Amino acid sequence: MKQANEYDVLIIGAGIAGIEAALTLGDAGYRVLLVEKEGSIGGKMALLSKTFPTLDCASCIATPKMAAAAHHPNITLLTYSEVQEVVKNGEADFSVKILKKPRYVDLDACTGCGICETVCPVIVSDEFQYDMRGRKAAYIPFDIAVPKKAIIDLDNCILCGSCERECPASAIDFTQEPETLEVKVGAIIIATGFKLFSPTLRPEFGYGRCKNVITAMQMDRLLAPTRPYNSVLRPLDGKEPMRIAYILCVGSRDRKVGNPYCSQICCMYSIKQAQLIMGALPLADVAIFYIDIRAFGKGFEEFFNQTQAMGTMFIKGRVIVVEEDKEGNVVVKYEDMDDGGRLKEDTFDLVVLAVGAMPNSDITKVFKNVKIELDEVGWIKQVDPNNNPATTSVPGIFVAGCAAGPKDIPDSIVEADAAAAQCMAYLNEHKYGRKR
Amino acid sequence: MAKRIGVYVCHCGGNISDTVDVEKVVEAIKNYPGVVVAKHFMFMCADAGQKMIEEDIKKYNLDGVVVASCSPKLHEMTFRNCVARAGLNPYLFYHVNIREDVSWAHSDNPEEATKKAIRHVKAGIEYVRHAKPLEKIKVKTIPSVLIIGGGIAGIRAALDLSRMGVNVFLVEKSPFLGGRTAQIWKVFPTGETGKEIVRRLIEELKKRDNIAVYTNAEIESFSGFLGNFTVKIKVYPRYIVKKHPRITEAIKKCPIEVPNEFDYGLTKRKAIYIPYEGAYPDLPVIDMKHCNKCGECVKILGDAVDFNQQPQTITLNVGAVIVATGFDAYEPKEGEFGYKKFQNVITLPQFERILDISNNEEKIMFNGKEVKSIAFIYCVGSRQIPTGPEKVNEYCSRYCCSVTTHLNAELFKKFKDLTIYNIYRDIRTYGKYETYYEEAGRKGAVFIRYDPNDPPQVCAEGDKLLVTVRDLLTNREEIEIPVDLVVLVTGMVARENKKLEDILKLPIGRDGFYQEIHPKLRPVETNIAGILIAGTCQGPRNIQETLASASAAAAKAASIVLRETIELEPLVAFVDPSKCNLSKLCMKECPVNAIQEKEYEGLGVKAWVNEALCIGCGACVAVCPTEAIQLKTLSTDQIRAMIKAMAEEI
Amino acid sequence: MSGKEVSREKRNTFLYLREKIGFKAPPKELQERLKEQNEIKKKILEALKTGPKTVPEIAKETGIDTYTIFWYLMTYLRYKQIEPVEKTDEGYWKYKWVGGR
Repeated sequence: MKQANEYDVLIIGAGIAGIEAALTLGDAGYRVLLVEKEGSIGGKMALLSKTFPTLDCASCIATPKMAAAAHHPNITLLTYSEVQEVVKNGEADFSVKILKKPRYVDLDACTGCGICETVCPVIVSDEFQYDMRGRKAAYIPFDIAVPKKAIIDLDNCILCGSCERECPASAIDFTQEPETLEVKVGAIIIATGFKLFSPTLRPEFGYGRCKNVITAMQMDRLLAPTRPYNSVLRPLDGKEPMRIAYILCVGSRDRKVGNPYCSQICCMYSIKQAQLIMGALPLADVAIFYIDIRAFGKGFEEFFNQTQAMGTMFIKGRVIVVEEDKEGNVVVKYEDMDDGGRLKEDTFDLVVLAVGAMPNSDITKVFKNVKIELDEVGWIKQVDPNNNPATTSVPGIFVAGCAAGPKDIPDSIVEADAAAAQCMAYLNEHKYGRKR
Repeated sequence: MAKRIGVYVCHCGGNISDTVDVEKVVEAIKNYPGVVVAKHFMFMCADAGQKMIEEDIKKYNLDGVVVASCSPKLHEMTFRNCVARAGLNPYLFYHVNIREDVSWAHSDNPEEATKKAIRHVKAGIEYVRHAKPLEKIKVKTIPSVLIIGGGIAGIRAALDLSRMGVNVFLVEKSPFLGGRTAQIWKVFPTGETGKEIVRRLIEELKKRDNIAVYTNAEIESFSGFLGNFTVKIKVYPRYIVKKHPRITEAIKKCPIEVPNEFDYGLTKRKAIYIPYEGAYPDLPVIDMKHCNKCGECVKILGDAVDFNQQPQTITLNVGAVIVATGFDAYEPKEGEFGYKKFQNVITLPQFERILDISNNEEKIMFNGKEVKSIAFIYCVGSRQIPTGPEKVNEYCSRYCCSVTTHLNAELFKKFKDLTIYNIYRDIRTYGKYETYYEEAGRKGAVFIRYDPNDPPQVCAEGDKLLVTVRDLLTNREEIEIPVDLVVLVTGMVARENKKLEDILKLPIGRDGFYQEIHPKLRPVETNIAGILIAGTCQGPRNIQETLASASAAAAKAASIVLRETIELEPLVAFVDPSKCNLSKLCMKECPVNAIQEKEYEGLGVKAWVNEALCIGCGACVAVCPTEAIQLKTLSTDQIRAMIKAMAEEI
Repeated sequence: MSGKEVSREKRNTFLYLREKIGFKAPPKELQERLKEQNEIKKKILEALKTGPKTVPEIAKETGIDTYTIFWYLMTYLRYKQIEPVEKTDEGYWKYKWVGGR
């Protein structure tokens, strides 16, 4: 008999990898506890515009999986919650402590109407729009959030009571306290994804200093249907950009910032964005400054060729420095390898930095009596890559998706299912011993 | 007939509402007969949209729902599950496509597009008015999986499934397991040989008691449906029927020598052979195509040899199938970069073999001479530019840059005073493999970038080869490089497998590799329910990625067979025996032989549909003279009503 | 009923929390930020009273830099307090105030 606080598998992180692993395990009949630290599941994929190379609308293909995970009879979803402690008692026997952070909103009552957000007086930078505009202290993470429920950001709340007064469902509840949940699980999948490189670590590219230098994630937001602006516009003054430049390999292939790896997705997402920009702003020119174009996956090379045919310029050469002129335009100084390495200068309305993927391995600190090894850069280490890539240094704990290294969506899904397979095999060997 | 219908028109975040006036659509149909609630919303598929439908079903007591949004391929399942959660039969739901079919197709004419959307939605409403509640078809699953292909992908999937308690049949065409991994010299990041990787997997395989391995076997026939496939395999004879202590002697004695395909023709093997020491199964095979039955081996091995051994046909019943048939190396054309014109131009796979079989720890020897300088030419047989009607390999083969740069580093580590040139187009050492590119550079490898429209030329000069290339990194300066060996970094191509592809009806993509059902979200499933694809047969990739793909396929196969019963969609035909006049035209038309004769009590012999076999194509409906046979999810009355609604004036 | 349940019923749990953490006033930094937000809003509203304007035009009139103006306008856009009207030849959108406080 299973206890109420016992699960077969704990999945830490509910991005596309965590969701995929949860669905595969749930479909096979296993009880899954899916824990996500943000207020909504979906990870970075839910915030993207379209995906390469098929140009599928990211939210359109992610939302069915997100909704399925939220409603699956075998999946228990905990959002706005963090795993605090994991202790391995034995094979297929882990004790886990989870902190359920208070939203100050009653999940059962809240309908996601958004009135609390409208009446809240405090404006705060919106992290889901990558700081391109504000949100309120009482907020719903984004339009397609799952669950679509409000959160009160207490650090920025003045406790004026407007939200509570106006809420038609009486869902605001400031008496909520953090709650600790103790559960037992048989296996764990780490699917905590990645962080984006912080471009201020490469000050020559002008991020922060020049307001018309943005990251590619910010550009993807601008191209998405849930965009922060009313169109693709540049942040300094809201002007429609006519000339856009991409600088690839920002924060990747770069020992100076501690990341010698290639982030694997940047060439492709830049090429994808170039196509989308040419669709959204038909008169715009796009130039991509690259070292190598890594269009290595299925359909990637054909997509790259198509983008070249559409008129995007590909310039091989490193960008030396980015500066702002009097009108707020961005001046890019670069070497042109196709022209003998000559130093040149071009002016653009907007510069997009193809920022790389960085490890997000703080979760390893919660494992109290076992050590999850990391690789030389800090990603969760796949200790047996040529035999069983989903395994980590601890039996019973598996890794899926970008937590082990940067990769695109199909590769994340393959690894998520591979981790699910390992969980099923491990649980059968150490717990169920069934022969079906 | 449904009388309380809810209609929901989606904006799809602008994808629909940018062209179609969704408010107008709602206005036009809100008073249509049967409609009690009509709304429009930004994202119907999002949790909020689905909640809205669920609440309305309860609030308005709906007995039919229409959602007008994107293609049903994306969300039909989503909304069926949504209405089911609210207690409504999921087949009283209809998904109207006003995105791909209307908004995207007519983005230049919003007015007409809106009218077309209204017509489509009206048809959807008519469908639901006639719809009947249906139940899914439950079938029992067979708790076994067939894996076609015994390379590392097949073995990995077999191990994972076996550990889950599922029975596995592993069928391999060649006489030995291990596939192409065994042909590799050193594998990153561990530096193991390919054979070691294969050996580790096979050691685990040997310990399992629920994996049946058939080598030298091929698929002969295939039938059935998800959860219940019947497969006939033919195991071809090895002609060596048991182990014998003097095998090595017998192989030495064999007088026949043929090019060894394991070493890409660089060495010879006998007619009786094992490809390499430690190959599994540990039993040699006689290649009857070349054997002259001289009897030399019989003299040594006695009754271990049986020239009269017959092929065996075995019938397997399985619940799911994983296809893991691997890849072939690109074979350059004669003259391509000097291939087959000059002896010292070889392919990367051939080079790996030379390094692997060499027992010289200090020098690289080829054709009796020492190799001190090597030029690798990248992208041979990949990223090809189409110049005419002939099909070329436009794709990138993914594995080559990492493998070759890693090989650079390994060569520098092992051999002294080597000079290595890498003549490339883009170095695609993606992800963690970037460190191999870095290491190769640090150790002194030279990198030269070429333009595919102006490729390097290879010719002979004395006893060396001369490679002439215009280097894009130094302003197209023409460089002439004399080298001892030119290695063409060849890509992966889809394997020739026509017999299997025809038997299984495997979907093939533009690049020749097997096609997954959704390139982003469902990378190991095909459009044939129950058939999965894993490893390089789906597309070029390296060992690590292949193993992950194999485990993923195992997970998907397990989610089919671990459940005792699974549910099939009731998108099938059925016969009203009172209308049937046994014309048998349906039976002739059915492509899957799902219709049979059956005795109906009081009515006599009439047609009957086996629901588990029926694929719902509707061909039978088209030919039935009395409309006795109908599709459960689309009757001829429904079609008539929908056409009428669409033809109405707006 | 507990103190918590009472305040939940009366819909003044914010007062409950205020009392619990000894909240006298919002932290200084937050207060100043709020003051600044309201000042900026006032100036933008003032500028838009005379009709739809572009970001540079609003910036000129209010004396606030374009980046800040645009950031706030896009926040108001989210809450449907402003609407884009038309685009100038230089590529700037004119925005108008439509409602809400």
